[in-house]
Amino acid sequence: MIACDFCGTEYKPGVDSPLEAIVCPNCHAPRAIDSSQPNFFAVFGFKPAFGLDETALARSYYAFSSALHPDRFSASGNPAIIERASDWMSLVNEAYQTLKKPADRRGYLLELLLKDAPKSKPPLPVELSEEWFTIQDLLMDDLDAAMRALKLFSEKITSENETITRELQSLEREWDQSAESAVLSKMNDAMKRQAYVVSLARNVERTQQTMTGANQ
Amino acid sequence: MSDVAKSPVVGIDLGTTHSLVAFCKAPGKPEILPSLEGERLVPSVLYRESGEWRVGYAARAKRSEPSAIAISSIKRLLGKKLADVAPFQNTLPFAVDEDIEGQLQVVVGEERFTPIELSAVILKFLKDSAEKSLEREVTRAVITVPAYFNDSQRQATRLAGRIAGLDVLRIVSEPTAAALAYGADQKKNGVFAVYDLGGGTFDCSVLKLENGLFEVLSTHGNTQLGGDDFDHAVARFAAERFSRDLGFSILDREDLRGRFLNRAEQAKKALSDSETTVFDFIVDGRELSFELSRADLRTLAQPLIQETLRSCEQALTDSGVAKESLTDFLLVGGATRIQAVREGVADWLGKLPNSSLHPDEVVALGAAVQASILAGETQGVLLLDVVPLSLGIEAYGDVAEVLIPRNTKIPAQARESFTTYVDNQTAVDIHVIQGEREKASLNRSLARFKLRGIEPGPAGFSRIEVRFLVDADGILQVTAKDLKTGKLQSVEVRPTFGLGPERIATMIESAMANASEDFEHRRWMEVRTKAEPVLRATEARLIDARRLLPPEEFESIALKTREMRAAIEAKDAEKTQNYKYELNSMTVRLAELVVKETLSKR
Repeated sequence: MIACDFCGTEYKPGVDSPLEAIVCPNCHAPRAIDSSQPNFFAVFGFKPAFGLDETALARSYYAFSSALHPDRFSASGNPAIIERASDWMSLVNEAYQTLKKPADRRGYLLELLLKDAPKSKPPLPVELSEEWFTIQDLLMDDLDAAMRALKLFSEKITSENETITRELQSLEREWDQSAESAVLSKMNDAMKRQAYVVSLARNVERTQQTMTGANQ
Repeated sequence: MSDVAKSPVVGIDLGTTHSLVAFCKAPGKPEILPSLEGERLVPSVLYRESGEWRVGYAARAKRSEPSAIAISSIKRLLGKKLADVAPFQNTLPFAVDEDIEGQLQVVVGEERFTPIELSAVILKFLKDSAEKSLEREVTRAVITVPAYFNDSQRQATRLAGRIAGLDVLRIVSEPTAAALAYGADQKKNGVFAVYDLGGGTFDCSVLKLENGLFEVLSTHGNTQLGGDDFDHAVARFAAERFSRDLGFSILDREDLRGRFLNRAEQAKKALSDSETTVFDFIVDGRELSFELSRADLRTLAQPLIQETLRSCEQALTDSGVAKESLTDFLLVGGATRIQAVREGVADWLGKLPNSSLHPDEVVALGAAVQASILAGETQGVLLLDVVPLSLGIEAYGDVAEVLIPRNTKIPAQARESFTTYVDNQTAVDIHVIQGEREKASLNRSLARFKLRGIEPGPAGFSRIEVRFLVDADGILQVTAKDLKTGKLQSVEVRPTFGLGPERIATMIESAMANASEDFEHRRWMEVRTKAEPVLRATEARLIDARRLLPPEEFESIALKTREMRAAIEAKDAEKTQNYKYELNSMTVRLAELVVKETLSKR
């Protein structure tokens, strides 16, 4: 049994739904968030997995919003309840927005699962960085040739990015079935490689913009 | 006194060209409250006359008087500095200046007022209108602003509300309010876009409606683009035409500009109903005219419409929704009456947009729905809002470090750790910024504060955690903490617009004092106006009463009239009101007897 902080009602937290477990059956105020903040999956009562039923997630999110949004308690005029609801709602909002997008969800879950694992330093795609340096040199000598090379290079990066995404997706399915930690370190390496490729793509794009601007 | 906890919460649309106040008398059923002038709309125009303000149609009528200075379009100045308004200063029909603190001021004869004070005058007028209509004191409101208003513009609106004697429970975005009114009424599910072209601003918001939940997915806009710009385009076009005959541009003549802009607005409106209109104008006794067509307006409007559509594209991209999969595309704001705008949107959208909502009223109605939600009266409807612009801090090297990206759902929180970057650094400056630019200095500065008392050490020795908290009301609170010493510094980001805390306090105090006096006075006048005829009629029948009624019944009526007379002399509204009701019911039998007697004498 726990006592509601606001109306004093003693109640046994419900077990049928994650929402039932946190709101007082009498005044509907939520109880305090555990000091060891629940992970984003646990908030909605989902099992941590890379694949997620996005419709079910949205449904949960709407149910939580209806029950916990501070505006629901606005008329109570009790700032403590409003603040409590606000704390919950910002956690629920962050959890929903992180889990909704596959890439964000992947990064979050990977970080969660590898929290205590030793930090690995994966090899970066050397051939890409070498090519990038060559193009940068070329920019000084022959602008037109460099622009052509940039265009080709940009296509190459895009396709590399797509390859890594496909690799990640297949690794995700593998982990969801086997939960083998070896899969996770492979994913971690792939994520780091992808981060490098994405930052490279941004640099290429910026260079292209600057050069086109300077040309005109 | 009235029970504040249960006092009504009204919804207010504080617009560039006109304003409205609305209220939900029943859950989810908003209605527009008539203004003190007995109209639904209140033109957002002010006129100063012997130290008193006139607001609404009365003030707008003054616009056509050549020497009078009527203040309009104040919303364009809210939360801004003189440098911000310089680009469109020559389209303002009044002079602006800044005081020694860099605070923007409107020059009204010998006096000067901040845009916040002027907005407060309009809000006060709406508050008084609502009180008269609801016959109750009104101290709480939800006010709408353009979705793309930044933090200082929102805070300026909030402050104007406080000065007008209103506790502003929430600032809601206008397109969101429009969706609330639409959705609360239609009970539709789906993904909707709202295209809101007001007098001075443009917004596009994408929302998902699901069983009473209004989830804002994204919003984009332009706070410097609105119906006024169409007027200016027409005015420039006409001035160009006339300059061939005149040899000068009418817009360069300060004495003609206001009247000429009015004429351009009229011509634009005339084209909503007909294909062509005659644009005539008298300059120094010379009558000039030419025929303006819808095609001309279309050409003039094209660049402006394209600009709005770019915002729509951005909003859709941010929401991840394709325009083809929208359930409906809602047009709101007075400027969507322009035929060219509707056509431009339809061309881009590939189908007809929904123009069935009342473009002037729907925003105020939505504000009233949100007001009713916050008052706890409308249940099962909830708005899940977002931050319109990214919030962050300035990192080393003028880099904008975003902590809460635009379109993040609120309430929201975020934290980020930084290390000291100079040896023996003992303090760190936290500069809170808002905007989408990568360079910190190109964004809007919201607040600066210092975290002191950091333990000296080599660069990178101390870690500072910065925490952002945005509540459901969009108010940002920033905390900086030295993770080594646990030292904490926190600010609530509330700009003061150069109005010192004392000046704000004085303004609020005087507004509050006047507010309750005004209210009491108005209430008394109304009660008395209704009570006096009842009293006079009863007194006139006292002779009949003595004759027709049993003595004890006559005595109690006579006593009540004396008590009521005393209550009126003492200006006691409560008692006067009660006695009026009592007298009414006590004299029912008397009235019957008098009627019967009169009939029998025939």
